Amino acid sequence: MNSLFKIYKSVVIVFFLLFASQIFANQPCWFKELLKDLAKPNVSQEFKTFFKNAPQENYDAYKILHYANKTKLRYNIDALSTVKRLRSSDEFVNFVQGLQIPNIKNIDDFLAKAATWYNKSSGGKGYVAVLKNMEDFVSTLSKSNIQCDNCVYLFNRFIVNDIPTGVNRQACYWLMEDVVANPNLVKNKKIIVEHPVTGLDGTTQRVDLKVGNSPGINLEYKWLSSNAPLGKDTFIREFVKRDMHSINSLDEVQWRIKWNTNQTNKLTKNQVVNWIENLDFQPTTNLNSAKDKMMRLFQSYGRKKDPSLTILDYDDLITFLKDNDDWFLKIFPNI
Amino acid sequence: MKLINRLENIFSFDFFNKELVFLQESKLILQPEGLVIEENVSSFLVKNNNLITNNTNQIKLYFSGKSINLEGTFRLANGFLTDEFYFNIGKINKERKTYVINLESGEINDFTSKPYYPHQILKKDRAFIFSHRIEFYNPFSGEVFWSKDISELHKSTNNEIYGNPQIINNRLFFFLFDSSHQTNEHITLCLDIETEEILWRSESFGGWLTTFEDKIYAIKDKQIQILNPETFEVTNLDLHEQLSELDKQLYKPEDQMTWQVPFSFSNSTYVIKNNHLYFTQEKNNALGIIDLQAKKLLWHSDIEINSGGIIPIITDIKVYDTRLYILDSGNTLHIFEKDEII
Repeated sequence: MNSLFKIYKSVVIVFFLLFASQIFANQPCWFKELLKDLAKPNVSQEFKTFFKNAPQENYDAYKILHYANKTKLRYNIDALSTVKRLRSSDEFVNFVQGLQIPNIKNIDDFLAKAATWYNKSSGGKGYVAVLKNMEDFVSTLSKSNIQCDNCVYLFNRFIVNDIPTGVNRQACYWLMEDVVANPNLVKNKKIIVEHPVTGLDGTTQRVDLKVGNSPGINLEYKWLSSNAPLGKDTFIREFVKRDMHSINSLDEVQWRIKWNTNQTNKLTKNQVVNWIENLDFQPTTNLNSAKDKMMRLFQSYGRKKDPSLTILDYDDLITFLKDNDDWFLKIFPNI
Repeated sequence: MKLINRLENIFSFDFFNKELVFLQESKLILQPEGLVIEENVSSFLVKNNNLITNNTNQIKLYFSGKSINLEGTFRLANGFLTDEFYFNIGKINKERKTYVINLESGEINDFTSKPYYPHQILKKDRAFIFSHRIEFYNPFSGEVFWSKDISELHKSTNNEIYGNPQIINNRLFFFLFDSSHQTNEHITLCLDIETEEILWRSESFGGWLTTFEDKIYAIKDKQIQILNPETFEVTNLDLHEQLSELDKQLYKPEDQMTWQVPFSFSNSTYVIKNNHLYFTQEKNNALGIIDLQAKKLLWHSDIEINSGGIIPIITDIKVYDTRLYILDSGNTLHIFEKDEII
């Protein structure tokens, strides 16, 4: 009896699908796919409920994720709900559309294209987490009265191929997350996502975010999600050659680093001191000019607490760095 | 302005006996003949036409046709030159002493400064410490004329002095800000040096303070603030419109987008002379001249910087006679000659 009922049920479903396919033959393909998805035996009850007597916005959310060609994502209620919520948020829609992201026609286009790339090297963060982070970021900018120049870069990173490794996308995610977590750092200030500067030698230099001006603060964002620690070469290129040259005071620089989950790749003060201590200062190299600047910057910084500090040579600088911790915690606050 | 010369491998430059003097690699050279004044020099400075050189073993002062050597480890940045004396702190055989050189007689005296080596000197026996407190004292005797805690001057958390305090006509000006960056609080204060009285405070004027021609300037973005230290009158010049042509757009194929590169003044690398601002760009390669009275951009240019792995920036600017001198992070000195228009 039971098996007869199962056969009967299957026949009814087949007839229903045939009937539906005839009725909806002229419907767009996303709608046909939705019908197929709804008929799948393993689809969740939540998914079915999402469309039961649902408003047009629920179907629009499915349509966006269908166009994104992400099969699993379009069954995901969190993803559907998030897309629906963001599309109906004037704050989010106006902000994203106001960015004029290249090759993005409107908010639907952005949400679909973001789904295409979200899972490639964004530190394992899913589509919903990426969108929620963007939503919180946009909300923080608005609540904290922050003007953001070149913010288009942060959002564009999630819809273009991040060659070669996706580290820039990770840094953008972390930057937005950090701004949300520390709104006071940026409140009532202008923040500028800085453009890269390519030198004649082909190396590219930039800081990620500049907050305020005179005094401003240059924020370098790194998300070291693997076990690889911050390398010596990166430190010399970006901290010694870039930051030390372009600031007037140590108050103007901070490296905001997100470490791996176990925090096994954390930077230590000893590492930094060791790198600075062993810099290869040749009299004729450009690096040599960083030497005097570092002595000046650290002396000014150190004198704020200890007026007796006078750095006369590089040995004095290294002694100061070894004997004090607060400079390290100030520059690398996420230690 | 016309570019008339580019000199390479220049680490620093100034003017001595009305001629250009520069450190090319480790040689100190005086133009126009290219006379090598000294070799193995690590840094030098000129103040009131006194030339002082430094290397790892000594400091050397050239003045009134004489030269004086001080053996030991010194940094020129720690030295102070008044009309009559030169002060610096040196390390000789691991012992630190403050040296005072009488510029007229050439006499050298050493002493242990009390309680610390000064951060700024007003006169021979009048000096300042700028730390978590400001102290006005005599570094020879250690006598403190007055001392004020910064938190006492402005009730705010994490207050620190930004940049160099400015002293004009017995008035001390300094800018305080929240060094934790957790608030946007900031203030400029003026103290009477003799009476320690607060004469003026402003939350709207401030930043990196620099004095030119008896006025104090604070510049940033596309804005200039000018403070008259006698009357405390502040003039604000907003040059967004005049400088909009310096904003750039830059397409970066790797980012697949066009960056907006808004122009912003360097807040510390500029010169004001005869009501003209000779400016440089923060973290970039533009420079120019603004007539502050007419609020008019007179001239601007971009220089090519080959900085070899160091961020390309303009590190120094000086104006001397009819010439503008620009040093970049690639150690190239660019020399411009004024034309008839400017």
